[in-house]
Amino acid sequence: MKEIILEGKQIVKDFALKKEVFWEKKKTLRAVAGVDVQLGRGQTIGIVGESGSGKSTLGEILGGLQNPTQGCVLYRGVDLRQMDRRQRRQYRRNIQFIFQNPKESMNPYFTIEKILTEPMKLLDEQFTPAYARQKILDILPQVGMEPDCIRKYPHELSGGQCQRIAIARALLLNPEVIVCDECVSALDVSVQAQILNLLKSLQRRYGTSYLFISHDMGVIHYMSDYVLVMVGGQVIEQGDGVQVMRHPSQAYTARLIRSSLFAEDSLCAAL
Amino acid sequence: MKKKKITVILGAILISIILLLCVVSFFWLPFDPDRMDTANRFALPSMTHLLGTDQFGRDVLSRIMIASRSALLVGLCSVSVGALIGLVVGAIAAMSGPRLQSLIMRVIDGFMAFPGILLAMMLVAVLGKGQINAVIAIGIFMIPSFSRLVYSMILENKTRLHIKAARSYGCGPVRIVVSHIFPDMLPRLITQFSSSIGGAILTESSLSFLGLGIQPPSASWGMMLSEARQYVLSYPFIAIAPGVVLLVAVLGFNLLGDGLNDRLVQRGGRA
Repeated sequence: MKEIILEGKQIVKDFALKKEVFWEKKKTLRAVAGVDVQLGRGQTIGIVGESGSGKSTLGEILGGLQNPTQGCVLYRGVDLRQMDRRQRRQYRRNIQFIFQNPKESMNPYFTIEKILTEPMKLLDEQFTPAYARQKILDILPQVGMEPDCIRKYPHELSGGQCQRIAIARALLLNPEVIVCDECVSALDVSVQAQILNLLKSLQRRYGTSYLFISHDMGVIHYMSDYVLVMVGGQVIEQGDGVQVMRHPSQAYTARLIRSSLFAEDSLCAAL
Repeated sequence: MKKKKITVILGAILISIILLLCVVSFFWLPFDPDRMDTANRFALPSMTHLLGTDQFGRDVLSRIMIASRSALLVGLCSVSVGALIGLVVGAIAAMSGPRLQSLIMRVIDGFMAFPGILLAMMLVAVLGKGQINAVIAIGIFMIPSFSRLVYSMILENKTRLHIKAARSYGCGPVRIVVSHIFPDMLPRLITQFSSSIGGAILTESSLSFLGLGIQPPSASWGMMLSEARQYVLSYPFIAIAPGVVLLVAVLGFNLLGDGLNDRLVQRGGRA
């Protein structure tokens, strides 16, 4: 068995809904209803589902951006709630995010250099301006960007370029896990393929684990070793990526696969 | 667009008139503002006394010029105090949990429901009369509007993706407000600052009119109006001059604020 890095146990997340009349009982929406996940080193887990199925919420809970209502998240076997400051920092550094809309995930007033420097300033113990600059210049070619882009602002770059910068920002901290929350959905199909291939090659080089969240079965199939299919906050099917794709046991999964066949074909054509 | 530009320019011109009066008063005054010339009481404007003299034969222009110093000083200082405290309070409310948040905002609402001048009078009654206390009183009276503004703007920005991204790499609440949200708030804060100065000058004049602000023998526009009140039917001119100057000052800051609002805030697009 591979070394487990990140684990979610029976995760439940409720959101309070606004009451329409004040005498109503408190209403809650169960976004995630008791999900177990185990992410091993170098593994990619794909979470697929329609919008509103709780997949992003699950990703954010595992990444520590939201607290679960019930259940717990373990990082290297330690519960997030019981971590001390140093462990918490270690966890923050080792779990990074790539979000759906690359332009909006960067502060529009910051230059690319500042965007890339800030995480290191906050989380890297070895931080000095020179060290950060060197690391940035080392990482940019790896994500396919020219070094002179560091003086630009996010709005001067294209969506695909911004996503490359977002990947660079995540990689600069040498994380163990990257949570990719719909990270190619906002991009053109040809750019999607480039970004997915980039993520794959970086995974081979650094042994990073991915938690890959998408509504697109084609993308999930291409990226993941293991797939969770979510509907209404629950995992209805899970298993080996190829297995789920070829022989879905649930009608819903089969429907998801069929609905994205076009996307998969065009993706495969572009690869 | 043309019309809005004129608002800013007109506001700036009116403010420059007041600033000019203030600056010149440090180098040159037509007469000693406190020198009484009993032979020359209630003089109409002439070449020697450009704006005439008051009931003690003091030169009205000199007194207006001297008073412009304290009007601007009190206006600027009190709004700075109010803006600074309002900023901190609003930011704390917006970044804290739901309980503290509603507690702070309900207190602020309470303050807002109070008529400003009444609040200022109450504070002067507690703290005592005088210029510094007027600054404190007006400053406190400025807090609610700034904190509400800051609060709503932080809430508006808090859900944006780049803030979530910043949290994912370990940005604390203080850093998020200061370096990620503040630049977005700046145009509206500047606008609010400018409009508030007009209000602060007016409030200072009202306090001095009631004898609670700046104390004789120092001069203040409000106090001049108050002294002229008894003679307003027989010698209207000594009331008109400080009244017009007060009008020019308040109108200038309000126009500038409105114009800046149109130009900086409602432009819509971000950099």
